[in-house]
Amino acid sequence: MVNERYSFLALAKHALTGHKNWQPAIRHPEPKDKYDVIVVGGGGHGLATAYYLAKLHGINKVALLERGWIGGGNTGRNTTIVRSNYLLEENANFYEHSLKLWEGLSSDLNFNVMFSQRSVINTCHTPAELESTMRRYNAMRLNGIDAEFLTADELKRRVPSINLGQDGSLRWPILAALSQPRGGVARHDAVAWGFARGADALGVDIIQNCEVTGFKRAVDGRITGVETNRGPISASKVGVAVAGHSGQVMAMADVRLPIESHLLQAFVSEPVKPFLDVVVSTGALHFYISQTDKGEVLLGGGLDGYNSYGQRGTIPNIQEVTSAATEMFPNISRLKWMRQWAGVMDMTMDGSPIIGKTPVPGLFFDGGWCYGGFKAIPGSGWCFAHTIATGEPHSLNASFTLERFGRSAVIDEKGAGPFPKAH
Amino acid sequence: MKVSQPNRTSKGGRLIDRGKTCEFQFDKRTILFHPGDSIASALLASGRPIIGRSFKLHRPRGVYALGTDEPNALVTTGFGPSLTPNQRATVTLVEEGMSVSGQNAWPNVQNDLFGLLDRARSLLPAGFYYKTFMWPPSQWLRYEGQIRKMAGLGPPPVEADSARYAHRNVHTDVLIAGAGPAGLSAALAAGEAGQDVILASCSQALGGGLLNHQNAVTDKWLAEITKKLEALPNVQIMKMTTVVGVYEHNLFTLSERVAMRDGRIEGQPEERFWQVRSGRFIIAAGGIERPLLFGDNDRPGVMLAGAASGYIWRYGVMVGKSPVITGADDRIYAIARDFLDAGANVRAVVDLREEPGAMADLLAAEGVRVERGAIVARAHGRRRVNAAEVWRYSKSGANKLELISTDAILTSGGYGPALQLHAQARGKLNWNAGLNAFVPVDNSDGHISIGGARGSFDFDTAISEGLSAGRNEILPAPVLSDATNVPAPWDLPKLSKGTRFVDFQNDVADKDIELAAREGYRSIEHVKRYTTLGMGTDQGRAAGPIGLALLAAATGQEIADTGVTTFRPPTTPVTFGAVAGATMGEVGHAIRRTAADKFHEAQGASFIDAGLWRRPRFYKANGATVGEAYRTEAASVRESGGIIDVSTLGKIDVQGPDAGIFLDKLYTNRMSSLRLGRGRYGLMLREDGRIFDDGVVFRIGENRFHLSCTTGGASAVFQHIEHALQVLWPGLEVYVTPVTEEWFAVAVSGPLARDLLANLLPDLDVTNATLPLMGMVETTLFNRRLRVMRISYSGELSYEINISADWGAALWQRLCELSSKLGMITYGTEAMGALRIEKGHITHAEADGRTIPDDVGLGGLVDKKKDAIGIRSLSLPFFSEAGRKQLVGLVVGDQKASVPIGGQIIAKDAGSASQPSIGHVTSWAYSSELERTIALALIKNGHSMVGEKVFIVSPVMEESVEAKVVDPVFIDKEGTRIRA
Amino acid sequence: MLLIPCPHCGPRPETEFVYGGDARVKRPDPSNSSDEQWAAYIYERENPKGQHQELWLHSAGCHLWLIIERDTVTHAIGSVRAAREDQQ
Repeated sequence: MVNERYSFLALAKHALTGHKNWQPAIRHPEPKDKYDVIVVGGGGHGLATAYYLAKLHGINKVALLERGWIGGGNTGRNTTIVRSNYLLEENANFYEHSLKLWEGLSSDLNFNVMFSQRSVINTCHTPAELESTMRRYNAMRLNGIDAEFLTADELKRRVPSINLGQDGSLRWPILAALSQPRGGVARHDAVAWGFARGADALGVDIIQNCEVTGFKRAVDGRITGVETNRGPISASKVGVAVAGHSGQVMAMADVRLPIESHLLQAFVSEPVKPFLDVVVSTGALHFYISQTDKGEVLLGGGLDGYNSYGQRGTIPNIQEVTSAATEMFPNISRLKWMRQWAGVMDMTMDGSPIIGKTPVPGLFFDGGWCYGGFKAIPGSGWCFAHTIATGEPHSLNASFTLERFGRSAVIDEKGAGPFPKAH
Repeated sequence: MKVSQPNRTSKGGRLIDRGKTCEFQFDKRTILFHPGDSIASALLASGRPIIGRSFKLHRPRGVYALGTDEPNALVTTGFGPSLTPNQRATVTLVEEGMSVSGQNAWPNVQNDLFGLLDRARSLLPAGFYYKTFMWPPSQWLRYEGQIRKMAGLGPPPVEADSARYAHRNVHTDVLIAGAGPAGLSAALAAGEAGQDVILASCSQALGGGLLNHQNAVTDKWLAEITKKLEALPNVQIMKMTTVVGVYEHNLFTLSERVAMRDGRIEGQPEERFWQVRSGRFIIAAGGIERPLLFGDNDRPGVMLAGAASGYIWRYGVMVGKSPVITGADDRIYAIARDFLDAGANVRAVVDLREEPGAMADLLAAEGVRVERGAIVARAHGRRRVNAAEVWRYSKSGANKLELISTDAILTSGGYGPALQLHAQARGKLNWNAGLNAFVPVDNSDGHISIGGARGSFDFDTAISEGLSAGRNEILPAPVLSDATNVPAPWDLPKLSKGTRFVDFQNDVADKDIELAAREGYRSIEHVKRYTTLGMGTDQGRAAGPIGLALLAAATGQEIADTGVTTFRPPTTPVTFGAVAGATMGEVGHAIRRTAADKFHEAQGASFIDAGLWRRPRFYKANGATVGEAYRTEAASVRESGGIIDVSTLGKIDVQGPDAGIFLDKLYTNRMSSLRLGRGRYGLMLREDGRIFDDGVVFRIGENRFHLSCTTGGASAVFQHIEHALQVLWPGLEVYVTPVTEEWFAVAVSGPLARDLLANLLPDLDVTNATLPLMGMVETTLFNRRLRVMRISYSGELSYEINISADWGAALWQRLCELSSKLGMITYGTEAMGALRIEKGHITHAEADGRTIPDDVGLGGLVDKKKDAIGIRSLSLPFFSEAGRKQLVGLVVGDQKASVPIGGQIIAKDAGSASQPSIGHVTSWAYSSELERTIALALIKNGHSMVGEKVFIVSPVMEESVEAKVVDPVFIDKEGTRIRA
Repeated sequence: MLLIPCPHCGPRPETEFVYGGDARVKRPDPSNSSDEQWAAYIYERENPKGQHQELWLHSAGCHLWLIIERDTVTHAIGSVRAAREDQQ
């Protein structure tokens, strides 16, 4: 089942036969009756979990069940930013581990996920913002993460299209910026497909169009498998990684979550030749911007602000982000808004994720990624696989338990309190 | 050089004004046009075949379509230095003085060196980049840099945009998208029924598809209905306006291209972005013509047949003088007739059907070559079509017939309904085999598709559907044939060489879709993403259905089961500037100014933002830099005194019989026991136990209190209070009013504060007996009510004086005069900060949303005997665990050293390898009184670390200073000064 | 942009309101609730895909906290009432 290797030579070889002999990147198997582990959810997190279960823990009787098509949820509808610029130690260590996995991911998967370390830059517009951003970046350095200061002039040299606003054209002129040079972007679909191909090659059954409709439980409450629209499937361990639909799925096991589902939007312009080769993020104006390899200017901002499973864009947020972005990048004003989309985020009450055990024996949960899920994909899969395989969390995810909320031992990066929309 | 319009017909063209001939530049060549011409029609008239280059392979491309579905002819337009990339030449009108250039090519679209990529296309199948560029791993950024340069379409603008844009928000009864027969009829019916109607026409003329033909009956109808509509005042006709988005609660967005329609008028916006709430939405967006699949079907000169007719009748442009017309329905004969009438030499009509019927015979009888049961298998000619390779094709077999020389291959793959708006409105779709297309399912929730957009392409049906929809009647079932003897545009065999393109802009061919399916990418969304099918600026209008069908064939599914990809707004791209409108800078984020703002400015204040407020940070008279000035100001306050504008602090009036009980629930300490005219510092928690905000509460009446809160917290605190009152304890009778803007407030601090107060209010008894610490009096000044509250933030003898905001400037002025006589100064927020740090008072830097009262030494303010928001949480065991960050003071070893910005705290010398942070500095200042740098910090177990040595570090700035942990109150621990 | 029918001000755009989340959360008696019950009150929320009872503050209008029934998929709004009336 081992896949042929992808390389330029392979490409050249297949060119001779008109690319008619490529092996499938993934199979489309029928579900079997029984597996060692079932992973529910075929987004990046689920696929990475399945991959690492097979690759690092030798568990290859794994079924990954996806209701629709793999990578079709938030993995396929985000702004692809990868970074580990966090203040709190728990977050910093986890996301840095994930970032390190990203750095080797294309080689590891033999699938070019186009992880492009083109710097993630935070602009600072007030002394208070500079202070708090610098505090965060200093903490990063103490946690062994790269961080760099840019004066306004240095920023302008690095990002010539930016308007520093020091002539009064910005309500809050840019004072300076901080950068994580190892941060960047990746190709979102490729991450899903790369993990899927890797997992498939290791024997994982990736079963699409298979919706979990319930959990099978033993008399003592233990998990014994799942019910699906394609029949029951047995396994003594089930891991759930279903992003925006965490609440729906976990409710079937009577597990209540400290989570609300909210909409996060993004949109792109038509493609133009490259002019912006970094990711710029601004807290003061609430948006982030990058330019894709295709040339589209990619923009995103805050949440819509109310519970939603709408999965489609709305207008107020687009307008707000466009105003702010055209203010800070005046040259994009004449570009055209081409496409908008939205993803359903499962927002936890402290802004940090949950990876770990649940009150139901045999049932594991990975979710609550708020709007930081994409960059976490390898790290999340890695930690979740460890937790499922060994029955206990790794030290990297030991703090990200579900029970922390019962103790109020929250990991509140922003100090915003138990209000999901505030993080 | 002779400039001519070789492809302009001798007469006709509904949209152009032949009376005037003007010039514009295309790639530095002069091109003639008539007002009303689109860029595409003018370039076609000039006989230029190559207008663009494709995205990936840089193949030469010409105009392919007539409207927004154009995949190829994207150009950059400009007036002077202002460039706009990616303009659809088909829907962008030429303007005098405009320069137009081709894009995605070097040196130009005629001769593009990157065209060599096309020769390497066997190495560039769908998704090739996922399979290579991985070695060596360190080089990806370099590979990517090259890929990025090759990608993109037009050049990014460099200049800021000088255009104006506007927003309009309106409500209407009926919104109609599209002004063809169906849309016009709907507008008339609704308008005559007295409804307010907005009719959006994406073109500069009404008529839609009717404009593409010459027909006495329809022309007369169009003229009459236009006249009737123009006479209806309740029907607003918006030309050059497109409905681009459908949103919840009947909200629609429209893009109106004002300048292109009305000309560039000083003061007028270039574009308007509309948000329309409409009771009903009628989609009359017509149909979309589909391409045919054959070898090299993307060559310049291959074009949609219906579009080609449109160029004749709209613009008087004949896209080819000797065309070959091919398709599978009778429209190709009508189109051939159009070309014959315009004077063309139609080389052949190639009909896929073996027995097409009377129309074919009629045309053949006139001597036009008609090939039945034949297809065009390949287009020949690289830079422009020069021949059509025609094959005989039937169930029994295929054989090559002949190369017919031609200058245009006009293809007719039939029409499918324009589904974007229906799908955006969450309408459902059904597969219709007769049309070979998905068609909308009628809705009852406020939106309906009619005419071509419903699959009803027949003129009379479109009108009757329009009239019914306009009257809000239920439409009769659509007359869609289910029987099919018409081959679908994708059902053509590959008989010859050449790539068969599905998505022209992104160079996606049939074999790319087959490859995707073969590799296991079987969902239509996977295919779209893997091949980039339909991801271009045309959003795959034409390519989508064919891609679906090819995928269905490759995976052995029915098209109906394959599903469609999501349609996302906007239906056509909209300029960012128009979406943003004028809501930038101060328009978007107003500056809040206190009543004395002008005086601060006159006094040489340097301002700092506090949320939307601006506050004096320091006064330049007190020092050239912020550092110099605040030290002077703080020292002066401690020596003699100073005044500061504190109007931005939040103020809330709370009254009612239950006001005291209510405040006891908001604050950790008890407020109901306050005596009249007395105040108390209080702490509010969030329900999770963390500090939310702080401030002082005064009892100003038997059942009335005045609350103050932080500047930054003011609006959140008010919401919090309203929530507590209306949601948590709705039974209490309390009335809450935010009064921040009602009052102007000044703090008067320092040893001379009492003298200043006495000078300001000579009749007031200012002794401790009347006005002790936390006491308050009400009096009058300028015949206005004045409140004096004895509270102190600086740690000095201090009063806060409040007066009605409209008299704030007068009060400030008076205080400035009086204080300067006493040798007191005005001071800003920076000195205020230094003073409070010396005193160990907290702000949101310390109460950062993670700290509880005990952490900052305010545990004594929590009255655990009562219930207030957040108190219950504090008894959770977690808060008693060791390792909490606690507030301490720090004195910096080097007395004058600055503290690094955003300093973290470590236990050992910075020189040693990276080590964990044990805390962070929350705020710091140079203390003029102590003559050394001091700081407040949150340190793990800090309360037990007093006396220990730590290091404040900024690894980012490579800075480090040594400091000693001390108590956070640096001066006057006993509070003698504030009681003076 | 939602159009929210404020019972006091009439239909107003969403931008005039502040969202307050799950309206079915009830504050337990702090002196008579376990740590678990108290923590659940603070952190757990109804998160239905469909009908949701939720709080909205008309902050740029009448300042009423409203309880609105809204479908979290289609955004269709059902009943709207003042929170205060609801709970008295």
